[in-house]
Amino acid sequence: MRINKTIRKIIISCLLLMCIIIDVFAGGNDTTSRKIIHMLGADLKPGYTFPTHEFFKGSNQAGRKINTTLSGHLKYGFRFAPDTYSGKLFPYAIQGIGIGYNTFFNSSELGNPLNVYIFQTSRVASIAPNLSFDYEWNFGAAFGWKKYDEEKNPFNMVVGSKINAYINLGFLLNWQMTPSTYLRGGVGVSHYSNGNTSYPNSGVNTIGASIGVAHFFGKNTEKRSTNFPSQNHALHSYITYDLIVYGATRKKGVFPEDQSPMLVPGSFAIAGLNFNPLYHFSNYFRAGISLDLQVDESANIGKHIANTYIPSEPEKLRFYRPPFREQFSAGLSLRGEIVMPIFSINLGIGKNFLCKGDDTSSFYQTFVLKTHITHNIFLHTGYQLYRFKEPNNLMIGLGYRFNAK
Amino acid sequence: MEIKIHKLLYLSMLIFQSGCNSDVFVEDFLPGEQMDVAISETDNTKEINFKSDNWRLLEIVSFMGAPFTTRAYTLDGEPTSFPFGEKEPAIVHCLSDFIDFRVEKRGGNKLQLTLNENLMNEDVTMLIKVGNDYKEQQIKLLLAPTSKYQIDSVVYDWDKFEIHEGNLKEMESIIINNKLSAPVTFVVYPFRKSAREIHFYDPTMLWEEELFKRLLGTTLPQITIPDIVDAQPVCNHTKVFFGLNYQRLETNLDKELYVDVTIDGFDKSEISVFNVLEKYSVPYKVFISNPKTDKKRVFSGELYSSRPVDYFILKKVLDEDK
Repeated sequence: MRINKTIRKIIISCLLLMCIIIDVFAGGNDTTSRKIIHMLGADLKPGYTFPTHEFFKGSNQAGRKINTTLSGHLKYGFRFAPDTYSGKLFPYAIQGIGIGYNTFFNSSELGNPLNVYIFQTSRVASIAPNLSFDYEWNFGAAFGWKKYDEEKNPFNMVVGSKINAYINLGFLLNWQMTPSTYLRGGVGVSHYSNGNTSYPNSGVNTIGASIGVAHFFGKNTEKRSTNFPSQNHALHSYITYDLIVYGATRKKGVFPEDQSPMLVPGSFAIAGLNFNPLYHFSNYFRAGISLDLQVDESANIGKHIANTYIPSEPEKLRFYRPPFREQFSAGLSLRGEIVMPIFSINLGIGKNFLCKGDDTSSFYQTFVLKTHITHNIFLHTGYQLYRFKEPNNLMIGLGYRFNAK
Repeated sequence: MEIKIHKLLYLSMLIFQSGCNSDVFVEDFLPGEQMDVAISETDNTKEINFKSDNWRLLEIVSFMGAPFTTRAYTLDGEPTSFPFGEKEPAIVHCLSDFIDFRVEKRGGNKLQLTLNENLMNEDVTMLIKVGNDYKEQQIKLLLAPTSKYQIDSVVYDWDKFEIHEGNLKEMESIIINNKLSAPVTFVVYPFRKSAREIHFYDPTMLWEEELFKRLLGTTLPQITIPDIVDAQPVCNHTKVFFGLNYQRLETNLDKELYVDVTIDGFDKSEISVFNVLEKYSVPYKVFISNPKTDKKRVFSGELYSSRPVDYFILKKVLDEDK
């Protein structure tokens, strides 16, 4: 319980920090007199819930399928003014914070979660003078889930915590109805899970439509073609070096021989360090190789069960602490990073080369959101998977960029 | 900003620290499956070093085929109950007629094993079970046999020495039916089966030869027993094994000595051969001690001796119809 509270605090702290950063940028020190253009928006998102678990297929207290969802969202965002540096570089990028109220039409077993998130949207392509094809991502936390409870909510083997991470990616058609008002509609996918910080953690996945309006305040002028000086990247490309330190906690299940799998009580600590040289191919994309070091307190503990006789109650499970060699892993990963104002999304795929034990001898994949606090420092919020499917751990930390220009 | 970064780093460290799931980890007090320890008289103390102190003595099991008692004490010598609590130091003394063995947990990480005595005529296997709520582990002990007791002295209570006279023991009996008219002669050997018989009697115990072999060795020692000379007890050179309840000693009587017995014609006779016995009894005490351990024991009882000294032949004519 104490660990879950810690996780909750971490998630909320990250969100608050991101909001502060957005606020800092919104009121930043760009010398231009008018730096940002404010936006308010509202969306309605009906959706379909993937039946990834028997619970959704009808094995629930209500005895009916849970396959529909509906959410309403309110957003505040801003765009950098066209005559600012960021405005010239990212003329269509809008970032901000949003809240969304969800229903799965089964509030007694799933709750009606409230999403609090940051978002960023920008243009992928122009279709017509007033119509564009945009993307939008959301990242945040969803509060108010009804989690699994052996007595009160026994069928919900899907959600193990009241607060879950919320991730959304959508693609939209964006129609400029008036100079300041846009109608946006499209489709998107959402994922809710807790990053293995508690069990169960099957995750909730939805796909849905989106319809909404966005209104900009003040003089909303878009420069359809940026006058940002073009660069000869062969001359101006350079390498930065990201050094990231992160930590997290995670839950762990073990599979004793001839026994049913058991969830180990408590949460285990994880600490990691990434050193990631990135070649800046353009102002929007950089890539490189990352040296990924991680210590996972829970790695390979399944081979170090202390109990002579495996107990029937997981609370009585005890372990010998595995040698550091089995908790530590070092890997190399290929990283690609999409650069936007304030945020950048870093995707990676790698393989541990220095490791011992089944838990670390693996390919891994990383999904990271970097939120820039200063020119050199960024908040690192990431998630690591093993073998493209097995949730491993969160990666919440700080990064420092050497040779940033 | 620098101060904020430091604060964030401290916060990260704090989060990592609080995230450690130390409750589920325990120290492995004795890595490995089973530890084998051999203890002998020359190397009679072994110390086992544990990796941690989160264990307790659970049980001591012996495979020696003889009962023993375990007495538990605190380090101050006060009796306590066994098994002990985790990390609790204490001493267990395993004691029987043949085993004297101590298991001492004086510190959290050490177990001292001391073999004082193993009088069994073979290695004794013992299992010491140690563990905690999660793990149980065995330490297999092989206790080699230790030195045996020796006889220090034999004391007879001459005041209670008693000679019993006039005893006969029938050695053999034969019925001969002479259907001839002429007499026949039959030869008998009165001392052929004669032997001096020695018997130790202790009313306080069931005499078991194995007990004495454990205490004194498989080759039992001999003690001198009295002979009767001129109606007086004298300790000469007659020796018997101490530990055998009944013993037969050779005598100096002529086993080839024979006697002719004549049966008249048409007689049916029963010939009985007797030995005349010289018997005595005397209380004894045998003092033994173990030179290695200085332990002492005393065996006491009554020694009975029955020695043939003469013979007597009885010829009885039977009714022919019988």
